[in-house]
Amino acid sequence: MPYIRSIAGLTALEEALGRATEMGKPVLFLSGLGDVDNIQTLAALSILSHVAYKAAQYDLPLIMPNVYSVTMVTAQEVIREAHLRAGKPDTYKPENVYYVSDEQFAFVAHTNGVMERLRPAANVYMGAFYGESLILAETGHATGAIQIAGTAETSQIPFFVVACDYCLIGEELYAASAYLSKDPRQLGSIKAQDIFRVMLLAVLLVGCLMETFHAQFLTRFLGG
Amino acid sequence: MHGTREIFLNWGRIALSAAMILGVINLVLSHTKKIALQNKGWIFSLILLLSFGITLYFALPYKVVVHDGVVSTLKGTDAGTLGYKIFMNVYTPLSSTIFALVAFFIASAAFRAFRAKNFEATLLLLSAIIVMIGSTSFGDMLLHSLHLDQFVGPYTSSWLSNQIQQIPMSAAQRAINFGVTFGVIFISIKILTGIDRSYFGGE
Repeated sequence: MPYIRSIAGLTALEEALGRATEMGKPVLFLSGLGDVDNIQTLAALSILSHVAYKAAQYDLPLIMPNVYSVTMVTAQEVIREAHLRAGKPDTYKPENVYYVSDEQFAFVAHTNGVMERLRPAANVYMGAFYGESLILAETGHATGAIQIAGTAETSQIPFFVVACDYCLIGEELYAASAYLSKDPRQLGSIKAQDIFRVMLLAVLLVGCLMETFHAQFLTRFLGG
Repeated sequence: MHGTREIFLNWGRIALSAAMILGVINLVLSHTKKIALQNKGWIFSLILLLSFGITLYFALPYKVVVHDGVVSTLKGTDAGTLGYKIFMNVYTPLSSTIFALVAFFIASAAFRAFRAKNFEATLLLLSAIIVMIGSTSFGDMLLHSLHLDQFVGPYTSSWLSNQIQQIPMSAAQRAINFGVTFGVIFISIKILTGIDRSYFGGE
């Protein structure tokens, strides 16, 4: 099995769900403000599959407000399948996965209200977030929830790093599904990603050196 | 090829419209159930459904107008209509109010984050101070009032703030973007080849 370093945010998912079980409070999962055509939303739904499976095992209510109705339907299917795999199809509640609004701040206002009223013990924010990231994270912090976030939006990562307990930065969101599933094929793809990254680093270094000495062959070759 | 692209785009728009109806049905059903069962907070569901109905009533109308032989369409959301006024005078201020909360949350997050408890945190604190002061005219004013501007020359606080944003900050953002790009490529390959099916309820 390829070695993958430990990702604190993903290891903490188990801890967060355990905490929610002990406190008898629900878990809030947000898949971001992207539709299913957004790759970050698909990555978030992959993580949802694992979270929902654990939540089903622990009989934890999983609340998931959605911005888009197609994401809502997909999430309902993911959670239903997770409950089936856990052997608890009767504990699945479709009303916990619902559509709120396509509008960004209408969704945020509703989600903040849910956090204040239901006081979930764990908030999981995975996917594409924009200006509302800090509003969500700070409200969650004020309610005392353990918060795990993950996004590839570079402008929002600092807000999540500051306000959440754990944060998946950039590519860690995309590696999460492979990390949690422990599937050798998926773990192998992360290894391949690392190899390509090393190759890119080598090209960058060589390119910088060549440009420093005004040898523009590589720049012209790559730039066309 | 262009015609085929337009066909697919139109199909996508039709599917999106159907998805919108799906969302509306879910919204109405879930809140109607809450009102019927008189669950906690049912009054808010009632307000939501009333607001939804009123906005739909004024925003949905669509009529064809013929003026001097020229045919034009008037939608319920065109400028001057009540639907437009509801959007501009009710929804937009509400949305701006929620967004304005970010200013207060930034202050509370900064209060928690900018603590000099170790080397990295101290570095973050100092960088934040330099960038914040340099982004306003306060930094240059401070240098001038302390008579230091003649010593620093062109290397003012705003110059330093720009350097921090353009060099280390941009480098870090680009490094994250490189990783994200590779992540997107590989997860897309995994999804397209069916290796990763967990996003659709598989294992």
